[in-house]
Amino acid sequence: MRIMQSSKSRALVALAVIASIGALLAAPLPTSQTVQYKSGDDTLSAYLALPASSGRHPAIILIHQYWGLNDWMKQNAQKLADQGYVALAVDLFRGGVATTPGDAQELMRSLPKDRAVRDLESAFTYLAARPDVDPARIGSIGWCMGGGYSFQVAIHEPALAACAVNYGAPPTDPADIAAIHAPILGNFGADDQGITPDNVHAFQQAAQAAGKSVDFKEYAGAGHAFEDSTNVAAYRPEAAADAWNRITAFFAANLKP
Amino acid sequence: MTALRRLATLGLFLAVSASGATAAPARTQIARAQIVSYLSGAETVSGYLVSPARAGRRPAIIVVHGDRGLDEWTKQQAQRFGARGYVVIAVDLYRGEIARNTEDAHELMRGLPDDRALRDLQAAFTYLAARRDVRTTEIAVIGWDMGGWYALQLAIHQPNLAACVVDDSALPTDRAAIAQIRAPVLGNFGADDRGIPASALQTFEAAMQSAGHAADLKSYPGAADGFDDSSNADRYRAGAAADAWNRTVAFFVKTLGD
Repeated sequence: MRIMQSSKSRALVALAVIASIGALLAAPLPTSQTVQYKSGDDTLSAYLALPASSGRHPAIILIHQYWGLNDWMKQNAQKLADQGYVALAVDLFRGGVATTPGDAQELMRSLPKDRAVRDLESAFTYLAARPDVDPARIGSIGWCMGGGYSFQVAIHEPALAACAVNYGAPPTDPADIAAIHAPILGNFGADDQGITPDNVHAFQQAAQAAGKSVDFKEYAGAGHAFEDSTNVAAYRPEAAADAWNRITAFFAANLKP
Repeated sequence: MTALRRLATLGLFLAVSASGATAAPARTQIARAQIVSYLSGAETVSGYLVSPARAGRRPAIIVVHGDRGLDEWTKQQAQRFGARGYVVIAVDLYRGEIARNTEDAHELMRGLPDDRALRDLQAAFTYLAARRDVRTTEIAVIGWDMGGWYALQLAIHQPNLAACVVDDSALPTDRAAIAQIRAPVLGNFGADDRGIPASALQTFEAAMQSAGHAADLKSYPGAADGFDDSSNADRYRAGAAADAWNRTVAFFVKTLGD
């Protein structure tokens, strides 16, 4: 930075400082920003959206599809922040964003899954340490690939308070299912080729037998990615609207004081 | 699969072998290629088994498909190893589903529960170890792309695995998990792979070395992921594919015996 020499410049700087303090006191806080935190030896970036009000808030980790941390994910974070949550949209691909299925599959196939789980645990730790977050009220939500990882957060983080999954692969290992503490909400497409109704029912039965709270809904006429308004072929507006209402009601019931 | 189709597949394969498309001519005839069933947890799963026409106990290889599923190309790889005298089981992690395009592959891959995939591979190991034609101390795994990741997961979780080969796969990063690997690891990668950078290879090799394990990873310039898949015309690089095959065969001869 260039050092300012003249007294006029110094006066201007002082004015600017006073003006920004005034702005901080008067205006709402900035609502979104890129933040950084440590995951093992790595420093990660994520998109953080904040509620307008001050004080401690419940928080939600958002986990992207195989497209990466794109604008649709950031919009979801903003929508949840508008409802009073500190919303952290993680970036498991570390900057990679795809716009074609081929590129997206490249990103997904090359993601080391152990690193992804570590990154998500670090996201939880980051949120729990923020002064504007109530660490007992942190939830997770993921779509598609990120839905599978939302389950993984529930398995690896016993303090998670709510876990929402949109067409993500449910775990099958009884020990993994037993490790889940958070109540789980799931939205699935009945026409999903990769996660069939059988897979969904098997998890539901195993989790309920293990005493877990599971609320799953299957949408007829919808395949995977039916909530993504930017995915023309997959998007089902009515099912998507219903799923979003379920998500916000679920988080309100489990994360809000 | 009918017996006739099975014979047709074998005939095609032997023709390919004889034409010199493979690095070395087949030295053993395949006795059988068949679908077999075994238990994985509470479920019965199927695999494609190739057994060589050789008497006695043989070393064995578990073949793990990429994101498209257990397709014809993957079965051909199983046959190639069978022709070299190994008992081979090609697992079917997708339980019968095969992708027709990239989006199918994505849908199936993201629908695959990780824990189930590893359980299926452990079950394949147990199945092979219980066979009377298999040397239980000489069971290896090879996987391509998505299958390479799971091959390494088996190496982490199955201490009796004798060797592990991965092509174009994501690599584990957790040092404690890597330290659990007992099997020597061979890897073949395309230097132009947009998803798996050279730094990922170096990090994995360093972690293996510091744990006192052997990892031999090779990166082929001018090749991207899928370079050894002859069914993928855009990606296939014949020279790199032949070299990777020779490295793989030599590695199995060294680690499993002949």
